[in-house]
Amino acid sequence: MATTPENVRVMLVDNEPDRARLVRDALESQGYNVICQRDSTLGLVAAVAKQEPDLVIIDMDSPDRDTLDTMAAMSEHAPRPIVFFASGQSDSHTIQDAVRAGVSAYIVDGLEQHRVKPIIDVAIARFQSFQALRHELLETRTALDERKRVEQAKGLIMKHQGCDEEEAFRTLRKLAMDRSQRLGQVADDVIGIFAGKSHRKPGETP
Amino acid sequence: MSDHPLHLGYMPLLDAAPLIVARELGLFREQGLQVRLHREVSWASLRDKLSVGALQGAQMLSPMTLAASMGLGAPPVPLTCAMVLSRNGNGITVSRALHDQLLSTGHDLSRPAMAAKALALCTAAAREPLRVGIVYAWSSHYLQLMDWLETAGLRPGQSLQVITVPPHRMTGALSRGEIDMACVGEPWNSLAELEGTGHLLVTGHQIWQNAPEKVLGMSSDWVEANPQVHQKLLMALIQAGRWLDNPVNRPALLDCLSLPPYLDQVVAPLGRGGAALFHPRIQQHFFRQSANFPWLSQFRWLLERMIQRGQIPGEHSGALPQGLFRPDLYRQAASALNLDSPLSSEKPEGEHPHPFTVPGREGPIEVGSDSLMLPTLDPIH
Repeated sequence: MATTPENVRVMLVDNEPDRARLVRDALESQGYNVICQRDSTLGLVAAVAKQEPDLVIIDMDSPDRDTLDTMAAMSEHAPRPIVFFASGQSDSHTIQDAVRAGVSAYIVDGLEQHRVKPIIDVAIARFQSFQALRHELLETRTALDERKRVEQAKGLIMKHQGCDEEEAFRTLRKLAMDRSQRLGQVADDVIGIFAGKSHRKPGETP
Repeated sequence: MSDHPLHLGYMPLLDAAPLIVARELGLFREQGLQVRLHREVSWASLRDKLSVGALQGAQMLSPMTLAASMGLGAPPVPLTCAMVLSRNGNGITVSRALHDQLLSTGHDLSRPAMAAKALALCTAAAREPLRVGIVYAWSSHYLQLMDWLETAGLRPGQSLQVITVPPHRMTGALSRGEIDMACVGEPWNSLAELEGTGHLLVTGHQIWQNAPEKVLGMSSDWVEANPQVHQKLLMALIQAGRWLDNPVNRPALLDCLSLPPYLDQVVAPLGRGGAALFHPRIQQHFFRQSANFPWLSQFRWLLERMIQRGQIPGEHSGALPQGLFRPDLYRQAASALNLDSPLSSEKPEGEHPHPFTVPGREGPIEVGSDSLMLPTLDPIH
């Protein structure tokens, strides 16, 4: 079993390249061996089989969570057994922090818990700092006009769903990913549906 | 009555409809409930959020409630399930190329057992392994698929590979040839047919008639602390189910589901006033024939299927986790809505190819058929 960070292979599955870089840099600076992987189902299964990571860190909002869960459930499909990081661990604070920050992780059986926690803690801290950074990135990378429309759409989602700003923003981003559209395009559509004339109340006949 | 909003999770599938319409039609509000719905990206994250209390409840796959409460793949999540949200809703859809091959065997593909035999012939003849996309291990889709395959002596292995694909990527994977078959919930079978990328070969209903597909899974701690609010929640969702089963409401349902972020633009192709929302062969329903009643016998049988598939490690008595399923709580909510419920929580499973009646407090109650297509031959020699 590995005894030094260099011997621990961490696979990072994240479709947010800026965040992936933050986490990778932080882990590598501590001596961990990091493999970055974009999430795509077919590629992920093959990558886990080929790279044999000791630990997989994956964005909580990645649809490939279910792929890893299923690999864990059906050991014949996993090169080595993988378990959700909290298994057998009593540290419920770490779990809560991880879920809040959007970090999830799978551990190959055998990697000791005390070796896992520092890695998870780094990921949680970087995911948290990225949440703050995301708004900055949005400002530098999108036109003022588009930003205004995103703000408006965010407000409409907040009102309709009764959620907070962060969740409304994540909702818009998830819709943009699902539709393969720009954030601004999704924002326009949301504005059209909720604020525009096209909206009629469910139950009213067209 | 409740100061704190109740946080419920759902996956953007057609059977999230009870939660969505209960909110959009104001059924939650009528019961004095303030509910926030959270669209989740994976069953795994939905379970983990329930586990840490970020959600108090969710739309859950029936086998997943057993897996979660037994601590399979993650720490145990104490759950209480008092109602079934939907029955049926899955299908096995094959690519056009595979469908052509299946047709060429000359077997009657409208009969599931013959379709499985045709698949066995195609698998044996194929130079490359056939690949089937599944959504999640702890799902009725997966268990139904395994039972159906095994009727023709097929098991995943070298010639038939099982791959996990998230539902919203299933039709794309079919059209790109990354998979040859998809075992997935609605609306994805209907969409594959509409897009012309696949043919619905066998429905979940043909394998396990009227099986409990999604259930309402609530945190046990929350139910214990809020028994009255839980009753109101059940009442709102039973009413939502009744509304959903009325075809008159299809146009309004399509409007509800299309709102972002629910099912969003995904359901738009099923438009035409919502007429094509429910595939006629899939028999998805939400209320009729006591659909919401959580039969203990049905979940015990489901647990047996999971044991059969090696999903439960070690020796297992086959007994349901204590207090997980609560038909008593369902009866209470139904009675408050003047609905009768079955007196017994058990029925003989798999013995009714047609709708039948069971005794209720006020008279006979109709229950949906429950025939089961089970492997008859032993595949391990």
